[in-house]
Amino acid sequence: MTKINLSYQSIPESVDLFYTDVCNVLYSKGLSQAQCHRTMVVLTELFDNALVHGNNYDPVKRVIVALDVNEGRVIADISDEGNNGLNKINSRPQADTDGVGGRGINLVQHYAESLEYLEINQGGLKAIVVINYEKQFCEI
Amino acid sequence: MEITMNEKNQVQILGLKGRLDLSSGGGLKEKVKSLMEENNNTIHLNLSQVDFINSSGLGVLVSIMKEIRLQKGRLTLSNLASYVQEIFEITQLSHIFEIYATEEEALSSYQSVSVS
Repeated sequence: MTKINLSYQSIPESVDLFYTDVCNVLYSKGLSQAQCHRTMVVLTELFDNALVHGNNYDPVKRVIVALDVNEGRVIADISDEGNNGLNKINSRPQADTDGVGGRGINLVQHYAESLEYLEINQGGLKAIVVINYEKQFCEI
Repeated sequence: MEITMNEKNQVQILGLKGRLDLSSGGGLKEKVKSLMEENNNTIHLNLSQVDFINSSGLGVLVSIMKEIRLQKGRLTLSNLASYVQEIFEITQLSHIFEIYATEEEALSSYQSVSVS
């Protein structure tokens, strides 16, 4: 089992740092490229959401990530320091097939075993996600 | 993201390498925009070296496709890794984009359209 705590400034450069940090952990645990891709699709959606919609790229605010990688599963908590987080999540628009945005949550729901949101610290949002990376998906 | 450019039979071919996501999508959008400003509205994207795509990357591709169609142009994609193709299937964008197995197949389709 590998448990890691990470913290990022809410700046655009953190997208690359987060991706590199977490990918390195996943590959070191032996995940295949496809398993890593599916896991990272989920984690980057939640991270980007925290960075953009939660912290609104405020460099003073942090995105906090707790990652637990064990046999067959990744459990992650991704928290922001934003305001009114649960309301924002509950009022987000549905994606149109040919719309520019709104597909992130569909991808998360497709790949994640479970996803739960908690409001923390008076308005911040914590997403708790479990990904079974050994689950078989239809080969295209 | 690294972008290489090439042209064949008036089709602009962009080879993409790296991640297509929140941090890299803007560069691709700018590159396509500059091509369109020079009246290059037939564009092919070879994704053979794209090793990651998420909803932000898909959003950029949809935005590019809409701009090109608005200008009566055409956008094709090819060489998607199986796990990248999977993202297009889940989001049903595989029905919206013209996706070919190889770059050659995509370019042939431009030839057959212009002949007929």
